[in-house]
Amino acid sequence: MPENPPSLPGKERLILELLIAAGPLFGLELVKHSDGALKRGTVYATLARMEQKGYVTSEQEELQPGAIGLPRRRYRPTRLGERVLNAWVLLSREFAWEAE
Amino acid sequence: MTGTNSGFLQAIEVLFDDATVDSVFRPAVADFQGELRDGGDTGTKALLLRCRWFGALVVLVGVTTVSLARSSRLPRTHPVDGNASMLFLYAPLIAGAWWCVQVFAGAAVVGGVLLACALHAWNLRHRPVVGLSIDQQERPARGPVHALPVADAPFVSAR
Repeated sequence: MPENPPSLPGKERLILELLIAAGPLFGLELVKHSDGALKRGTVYATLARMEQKGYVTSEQEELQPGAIGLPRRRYRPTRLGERVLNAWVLLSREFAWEAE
Repeated sequence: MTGTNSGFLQAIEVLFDDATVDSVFRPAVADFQGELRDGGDTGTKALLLRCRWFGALVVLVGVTTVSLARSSRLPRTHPVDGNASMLFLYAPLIAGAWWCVQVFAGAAVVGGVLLACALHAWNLRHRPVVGLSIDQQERPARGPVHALPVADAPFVSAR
């Protein structure tokens, strides 16, 4: 048994659910898909933390020739992220009867 | 559009390490630029968008600082330049309250300089005396306790 099992706070769970449901997304698209649950001021720090944990991975978009500005970063869930989310769903179902 | 953002990123690069800038702030600025591109860079809507992103980036700086401080596994702020982040806390306070504290601040600076000059001039005229010399001959002789002279006192019985 690992000494520190993976943790999954609510925001990270929501991001994983959105990424699995809608496919790879930019940070701003995650904010828009979340209907106000995610904020522009916090989602990037959460995504960086999730990338450190190995729950998501990211890649930069290809800029069009002559495009101005920085390339955006698109996020997608990793296999570990999907497994952690599945484990959390199973765990929450296991204890759902106690909450009722 | 990019000039302001590159200035923001340059300031952020002073405060945070490269990994944090690449993983947190560059994606945010890139999305900001992308949204401005898609929605038009001029007009009231663009102004509102800029205000919204300005607030978001300020929050992001605070959230990232707290987040990095709580997690030992993530890259941290530069140890030396971390002090500079305090400017982010003080600068808005001073700038916001400047209209009511400018007279006091100006008087405090002028008064402090005058006081410092007066103290310096007084110190130059009144040199301090360092140390007090004790005449060795006046110093009492020291020795073992049994060498102390004892007066011969008559024995008085309690009875």
